[in-house]
Amino acid sequence: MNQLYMGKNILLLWLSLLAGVSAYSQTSTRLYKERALGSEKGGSEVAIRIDSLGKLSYLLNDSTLTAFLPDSKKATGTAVLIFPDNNLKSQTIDSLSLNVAKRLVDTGIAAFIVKHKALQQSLSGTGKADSLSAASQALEDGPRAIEYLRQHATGLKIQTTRIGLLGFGAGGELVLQLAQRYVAASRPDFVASVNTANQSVSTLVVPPDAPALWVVITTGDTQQAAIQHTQLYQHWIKAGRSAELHIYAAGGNGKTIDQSGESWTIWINQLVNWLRTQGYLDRALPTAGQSQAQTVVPEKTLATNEATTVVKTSVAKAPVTQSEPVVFRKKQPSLNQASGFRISGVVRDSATGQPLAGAAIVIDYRKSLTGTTTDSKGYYSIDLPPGEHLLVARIIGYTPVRKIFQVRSEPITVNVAMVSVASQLEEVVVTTKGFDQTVRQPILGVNQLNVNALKKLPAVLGEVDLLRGLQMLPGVSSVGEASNGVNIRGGTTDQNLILLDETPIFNPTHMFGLFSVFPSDVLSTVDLYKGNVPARFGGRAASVLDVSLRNPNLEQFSLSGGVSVVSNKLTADIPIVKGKLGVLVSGRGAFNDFLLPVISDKLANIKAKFGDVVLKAFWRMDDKNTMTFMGYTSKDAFQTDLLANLPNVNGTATRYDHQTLNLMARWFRSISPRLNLQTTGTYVHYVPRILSPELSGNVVTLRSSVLQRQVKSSLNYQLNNQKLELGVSGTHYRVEPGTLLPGQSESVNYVTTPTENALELALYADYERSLGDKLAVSVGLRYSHFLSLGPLLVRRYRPGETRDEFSVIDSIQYGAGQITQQYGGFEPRLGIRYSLGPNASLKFGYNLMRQYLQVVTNTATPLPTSRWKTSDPFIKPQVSQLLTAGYFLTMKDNIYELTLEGYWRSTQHIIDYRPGADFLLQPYPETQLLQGKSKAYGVETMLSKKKGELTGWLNYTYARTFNQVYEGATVEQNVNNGNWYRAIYDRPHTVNANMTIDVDRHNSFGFTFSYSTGRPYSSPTGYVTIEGVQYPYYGLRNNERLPAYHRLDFTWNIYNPSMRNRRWEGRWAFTVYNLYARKNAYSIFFKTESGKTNAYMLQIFAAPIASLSYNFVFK
Amino acid sequence: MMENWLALVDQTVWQKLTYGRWYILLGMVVVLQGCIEAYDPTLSLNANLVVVSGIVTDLAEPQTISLSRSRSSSDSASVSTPIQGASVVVVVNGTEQIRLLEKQPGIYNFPDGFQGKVGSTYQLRFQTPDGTTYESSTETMVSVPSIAKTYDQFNPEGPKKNANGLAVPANDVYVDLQDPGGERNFYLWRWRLYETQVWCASCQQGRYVAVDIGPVGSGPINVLGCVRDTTLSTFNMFDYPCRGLCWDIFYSTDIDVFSDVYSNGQLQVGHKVASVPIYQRDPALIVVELLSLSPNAYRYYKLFADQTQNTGTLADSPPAPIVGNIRNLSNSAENVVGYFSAASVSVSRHKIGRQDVTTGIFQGLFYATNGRYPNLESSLPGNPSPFGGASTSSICVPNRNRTDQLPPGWND
Repeated sequence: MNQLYMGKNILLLWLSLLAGVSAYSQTSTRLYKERALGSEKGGSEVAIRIDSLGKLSYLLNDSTLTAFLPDSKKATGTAVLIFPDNNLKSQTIDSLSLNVAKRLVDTGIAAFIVKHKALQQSLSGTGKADSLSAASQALEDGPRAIEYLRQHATGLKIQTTRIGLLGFGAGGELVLQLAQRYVAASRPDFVASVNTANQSVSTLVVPPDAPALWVVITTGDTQQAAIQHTQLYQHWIKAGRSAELHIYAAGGNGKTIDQSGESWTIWINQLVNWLRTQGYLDRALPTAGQSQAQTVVPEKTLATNEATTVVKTSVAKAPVTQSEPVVFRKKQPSLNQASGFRISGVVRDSATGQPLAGAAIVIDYRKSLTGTTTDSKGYYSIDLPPGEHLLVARIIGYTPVRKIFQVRSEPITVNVAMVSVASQLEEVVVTTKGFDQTVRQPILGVNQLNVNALKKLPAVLGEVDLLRGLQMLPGVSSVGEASNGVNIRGGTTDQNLILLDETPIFNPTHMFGLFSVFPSDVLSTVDLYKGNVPARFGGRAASVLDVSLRNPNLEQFSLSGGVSVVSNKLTADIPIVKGKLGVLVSGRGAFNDFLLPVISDKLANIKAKFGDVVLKAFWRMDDKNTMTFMGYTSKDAFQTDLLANLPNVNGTATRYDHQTLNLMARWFRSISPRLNLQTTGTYVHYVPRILSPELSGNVVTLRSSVLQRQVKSSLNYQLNNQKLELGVSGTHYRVEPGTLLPGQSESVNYVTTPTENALELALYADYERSLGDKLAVSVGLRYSHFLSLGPLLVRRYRPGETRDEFSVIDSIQYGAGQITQQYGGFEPRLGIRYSLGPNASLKFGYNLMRQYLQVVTNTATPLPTSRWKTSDPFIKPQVSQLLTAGYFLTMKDNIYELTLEGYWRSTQHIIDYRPGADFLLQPYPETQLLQGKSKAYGVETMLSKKKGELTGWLNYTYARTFNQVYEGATVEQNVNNGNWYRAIYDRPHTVNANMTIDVDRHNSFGFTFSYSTGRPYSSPTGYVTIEGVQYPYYGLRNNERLPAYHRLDFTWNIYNPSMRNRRWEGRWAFTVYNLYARKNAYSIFFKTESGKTNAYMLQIFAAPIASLSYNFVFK
Repeated sequence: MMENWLALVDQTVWQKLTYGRWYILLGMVVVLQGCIEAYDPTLSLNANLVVVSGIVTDLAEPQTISLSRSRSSSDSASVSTPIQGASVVVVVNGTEQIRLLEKQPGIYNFPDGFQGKVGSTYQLRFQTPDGTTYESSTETMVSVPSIAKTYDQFNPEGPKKNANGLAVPANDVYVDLQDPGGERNFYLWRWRLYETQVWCASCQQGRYVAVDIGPVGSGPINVLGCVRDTTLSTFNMFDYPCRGLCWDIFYSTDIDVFSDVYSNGQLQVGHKVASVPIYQRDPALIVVELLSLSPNAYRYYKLFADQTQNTGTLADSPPAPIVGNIRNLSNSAENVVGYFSAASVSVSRHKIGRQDVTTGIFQGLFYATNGRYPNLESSLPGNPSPFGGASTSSICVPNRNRTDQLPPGWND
């Protein structure tokens, strides 16, 4: 609102009025410069009619303020804003309002009639259709009118502290609302309500400085009005505020008070009388220069504890709704000048304004000398010497507040507004997804990672790592620091389906397990399904990690990136057609391997470079169709002494090189608001290679490849409390297990293994429904069918004997496309949630999953070059059944969360290996493989605090995994003599704890602690001496354990250190990994050297690793 | 309590941040530390294994089979006792039975002059004194190609490290081999190295005494060896130079197997068969042997190598019980360690001239193996002893690791 414009307008009118005006004068002012909200027609100019007799007739389109000003000799400096009732037929100001205005003016009070919006609508005949919106719009008029009066108080000759409201009927409703909800500038000093008839009289909250209240009604037709007004009066009184209530028993339709007959004079006299007793009829014109709202601090109300009605002094301090301190200067001297000056104030909840009792107040951290707590009114007071002080206010459930203030020569007031923790956003990294009322998410055993909170965790060498963050969850473990994947609930690493925007990732780490491949800057959501896996996912036996990248920003270009010890990254959001088409490009490159020897000298012989680039385009074709395209490629090249050389090739060194290309295209079509169709095509090509340069310089390459192409489509139907999804998918696998490319070598031949072709088809249906408010059920059924296709040579072996060259009977050659073997079956998925109350629930789940593509490797963790194998006539698919039960509880307004989950898993046809198995370029891998079964069980508990200045979680897991492999009695046909043995990732006890402290907007600290029992390893059961040389003999598998693993990390994140908001935002992260230098063992191995067997322990990160990284965002 | 702790954090951090605007700006702090360290595990050992070792070759040299029993228990890590008094028989071609004689405890020798033949089959059968019979599979001796070329290269950084952690320079020995096409070949490489030795005896707290019976220098000598002399200090060592030529023999300890699966029919170039640390500048002789293995023998040796030598990587294969080819006839579950194989051997002798070597001292073998310079008797005051003339040179006593005969190929 342009005050200057309004001022000129008013002045013009005023001057014209003065030119020949009588005792009564009226001016009408438009409250809004622009067209007011809700007014469809164009705003017209104000039509003013000056009528000394007070009879007006003019059309009003906008909200207006009609002024009736008293004679300047009589003027008392008090003003009343009148809000008329809205059941009117005429378009003029009603006569009641007019009469009241005249009467007030007679007593020297300036009266302003407000044509508020509700009134508007009834005038224009739209009726009371949408009273809510009308009322809320009208509610704006009141404060605006008050503000306007205060701003022009001098000109209008009114005191800013003597502005009151008077409302009739519907106007009275408005007025009562305004009496309870206001900000300092728009607080009325007194409020009068006349015959406000209905339900909206309910009291919300009576503010501590609520205006004095005057009410008159009749019991009328319904007693409701009387009862409610009585309650209103009581609330007012109990809050210690001044109130006066008149209830007339006169019958029928309240005729006595709202008509312009004589009866209105009855109550108007009482109103005037009340105004007199309140002092508003005393002459107190404003002094020049006073234009802003000022409130005076009376001494009495602060110190009083009783709920007395305050009669004389009518005003308390304005409530503080921001967190800035409001500092006042008191006029009277302090109580105790010798030891300093008194500071006092009130601590309130910033949202509701309610005072907070029992809040701890400490000055300058000296609790013993200057600590106190607030009383039941939220009031505190402390004496302090002059100088600068820091006040800290704390109370449970609220974010602590710190303020610096100066004490000079007078006592001051420092008020504090505290923000409730419950209203903050959840900060913790991981939440177990609770039940979602709209049944969009599945129910049990889903963990969602908060990517932003993940970035605050300590990270190795400054690289935010998703897989390491995952290992902080209960049920997720790994075999060690350089492990190429994670183990979830007793499954192997290849039993987890890792999806990046629906494309599978075959090798999830760079640099052999040190860093993960996910581009952390563009992650959107990370969902880990380790319990109930929805039927739309299939193909792996243990879990699904669904990572999706965010969509490009369609509106604004932005650039972000970072530099750290390991890698350099850059991300750009490029909108191409604003609002319709945008592209996101993100790349990361690591070329800093020259720094690795500085960190650990075992890493000295590592040469490692990696890079990944992702490109995502999103096209909103129209309201119903969108297309998404994603391309991701990653490449690694590394060489290390810690990995074995390519055998049987005379190479001088060995380099590992792997790359992948993932492409995805998705079309989303919304057929109706409840039904949509989603079709996706993906293409993934993963090529790992081993390069072995010979003495002559020629490079011999061992190359393998996995190619997966998939098309799937699903139909989603969603109702209020049910959801149905139907889908179909088809996947083609082409696996080239290995080809030896000699290059120019004269020593090495070209050797290749037969390519595997396979087709996996699936049909699924997923139904989720909530039955009542206690029970929710998710039922899914997936049918998957697998066909192994030719061309393939399939051998037949003598039954009962070890499969090897000596037991082959014959072989069958299948042609291209012929089916060599089929497998298939149903995969039921069931989840049930039963609510024990608003905060607690029980969950049960059952899952069956089939896996047709797996890794065959006998190493502790799969190499990037490990072989992927589809099921075939000898290798049956792995089938895993999982049973879970859990208890889920949130406490204290969803701030704390407790989860308790137990599981039992049983897997058939797990893969294990004969002693000395060799898969490298092996055309008949069935001669090296054995299949057995596995059982795993465990209990996972987690307690997390999700909101507040301090967030974090603590979890404990007890988990066991055992395998049994027995295909025959000889040593080549079984493992561990057919007894159950511990899996390589069997770690019974695991504890993870994390704590993140947000000190202020610019700093946060994080600590992460993890403890886990050491993983099993095989140690010799005896030693043998052959020709004077001592060798170890291993009779059992995984019979010993490594020492326990534990480590503490620390991070300090500094955001925008210059403390200014600019287009460029930067963040420094200082991290120390393994703070107390625990030498965690990766493996214990035995080596025969110079005739003797010695035991060694290999550690990867044995020393604390500190790093500094910088990330920026530029918009 | 949480409140107090938070207040403490407040105090330190907030005060610094708000009052003093104190920022910590640290550079990268790194601590260097090694990653593989020796470990002493507490193992629960429990094994009682029969160990058989021996390869029938077609070389004209004495051939032996060794039988022993290795016992491990929690009290003693490993005790290897030879199996004495067993009756050992090798069946050739299924018919001819050759009885082996025990010449040393646990070592059973073939008759003198016995040589294996390519194409013959051999099977080992033995019965231990307690009556248990064992039998091996039948192994065929397959032919082996000859080694095409043996050569060496100076490598200033060899695999061994000296006490200071520095790499000892070495001679890398390479071989070239023409693999015969049309057949699957599995190879085992081994070698032995002859180095000249000039110090043949050392005595602690004593003196070496050899008395000439006949004419000095040409007649018989009565060798008493080291005689205790308590007038010397307990740790006193005297070293005596060799009387005559002497060579120390070093054997390969690693298992080096190779298969022609990728290189069938091709010329193998540059297979590094040994990396000989240069202990002395004098020339040495390396005798490289190439043995042909059967497929199962190759698998056995390869598994052994993987489990005992190729460990310590990030992706170790899980150790497994190694299956040999000998089984207990009455108890098929007993696992006998060791492989009885028959191999044809192709030998290449290569003199490592060491002309291009820039390190090492002449006749420095003693220093390299003992870590000290030889200490002569004459260095002590009061020499020669008034009690008679003790010989200051010693006899080169031949054993497995020493020979006084000129190694064939030394003067090529």
